[in-house]
Amino acid sequence: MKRKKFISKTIFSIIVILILLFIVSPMIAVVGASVSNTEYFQFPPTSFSLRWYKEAFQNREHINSLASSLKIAVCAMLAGDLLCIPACFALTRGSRKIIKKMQVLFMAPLFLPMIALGVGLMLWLAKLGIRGNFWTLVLAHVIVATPYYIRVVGTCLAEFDYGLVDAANSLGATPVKAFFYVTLPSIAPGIIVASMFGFMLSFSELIITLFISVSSLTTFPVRVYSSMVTEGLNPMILAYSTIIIIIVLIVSVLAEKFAHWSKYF
Amino acid sequence: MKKSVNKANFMLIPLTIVFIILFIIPFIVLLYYSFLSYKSGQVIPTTPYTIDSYAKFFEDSFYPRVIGRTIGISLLTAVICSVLGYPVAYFISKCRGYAKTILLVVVILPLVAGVMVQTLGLYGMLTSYGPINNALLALGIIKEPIEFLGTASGVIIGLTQGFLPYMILPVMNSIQTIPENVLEAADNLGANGLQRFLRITLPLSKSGVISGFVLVFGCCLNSYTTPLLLGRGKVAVIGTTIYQQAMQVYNWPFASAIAMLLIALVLVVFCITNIAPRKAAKRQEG
Repeated sequence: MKRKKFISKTIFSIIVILILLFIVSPMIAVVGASVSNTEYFQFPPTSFSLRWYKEAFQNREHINSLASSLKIAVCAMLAGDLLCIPACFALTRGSRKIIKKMQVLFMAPLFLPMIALGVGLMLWLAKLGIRGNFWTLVLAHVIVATPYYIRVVGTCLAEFDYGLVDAANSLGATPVKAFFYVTLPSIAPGIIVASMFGFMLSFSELIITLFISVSSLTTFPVRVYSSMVTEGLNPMILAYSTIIIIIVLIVSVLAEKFAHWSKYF
Repeated sequence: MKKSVNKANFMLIPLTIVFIILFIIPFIVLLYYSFLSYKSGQVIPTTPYTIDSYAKFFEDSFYPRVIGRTIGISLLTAVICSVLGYPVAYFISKCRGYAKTILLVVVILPLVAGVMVQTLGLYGMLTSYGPINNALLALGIIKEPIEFLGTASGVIIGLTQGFLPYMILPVMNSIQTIPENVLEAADNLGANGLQRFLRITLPLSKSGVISGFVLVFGCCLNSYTTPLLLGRGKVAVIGTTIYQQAMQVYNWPFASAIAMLLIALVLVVFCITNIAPRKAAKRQEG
């Protein structure tokens, strides 16, 4: 009986590990193939070389697109903080009738097809004559990230005890002081996690950017996408992707350990 | 007291303005464009408004079949995700400490790394000279490489890999909310492991499976990158058709009309599934 239980448990664990392996397999393949010496995608690699990394760092076009992606992602993250965190406060403290409607609106980007928004934005911005504007792109990325901000910061604020602010006020703190010394430190983990979401979503956003960016403002995903459509898989791109994967891996381990960000999905 | 409530409402204004300009108005523009007429490569921005674009969609069986294909691929992906996702969710919910952290990072990583990286890796893995075909050839299971790319099978593999986390996380959360003493009660009353799972764990985690299913299904309907790159433009789904009409044919009224139909489809899916669980819950109460 005991042995039977042990065997079935082992089989179950093996199945689960295989499924998890399937989830990460593309990333393992990207990392493995990026150090291969061949002209095409080879995994597992038969020879080790860093030539694609060397070539990746000499390619101006890709470096430029990576730089503009980083710039847009940082701006989107900061703009997201500035726009969404006050809104989250309002959603926990405002009048109920307005809140319910706004909550639906702010969560809508999660459900509505972003490709439809892309087409609509392209037509609308072309009408206004500001297609390819840097800040419209940043704000469009903020819209994509808003549902995550609302959920993450909203969860933190729902758990936050407003009695503490009242206590601070009655002890003579100005509202500004109470915010910076009481409210902000206790919701800081939520803000950090939300900002990371904002950054990563903007950094990897493809569909809307494809519709509204212009050639002078090409982001990294758009460049990778167009090179994949025209010339197929280029090992140089694998080198960039490996760097992105390693950064994402470090960030997500830290975020999971210190802020439990999986609970916000 | 009332004054402070009003003050809080003001903090919604900046984000709301951004949403009106870059979210609500674009959808209205989309609706407007879908009723414009398109003749000999030109969009005619004046009246009369027509429903030509919608009529064109249902004119022959090509475009309705695109919708059918999209729904079929999405449904199949959602089913595969539930089957593969449930054991993983169950396993993680029983883990503790560092093991749990590591497993959660593994599950979330694809969501955070972005769709481009995933698609790149899968593209390489699924090519005719890629590791999957090589392994199958070496094991003697197949004699010739299977063409995954450019077929619906490749797209389904890609979507399953990309959206599996959306299934695992809600299911895991719902399994975790099952109180420990309910499971103990089942044990004490003499249920074996399988009975306990089928009679207690599975019914009590049903809501997580439903929400995961809806999420995966909805995401698949809206997907564009995976079908295009792994389908190599040969697997036409709604997303790729919209892009093609808007950016290659420049038939904006038609692209807008398809986009409106996609929105309608997604809204119907979410409305039905939003009502269904509530009704089921009510029935249980009554």
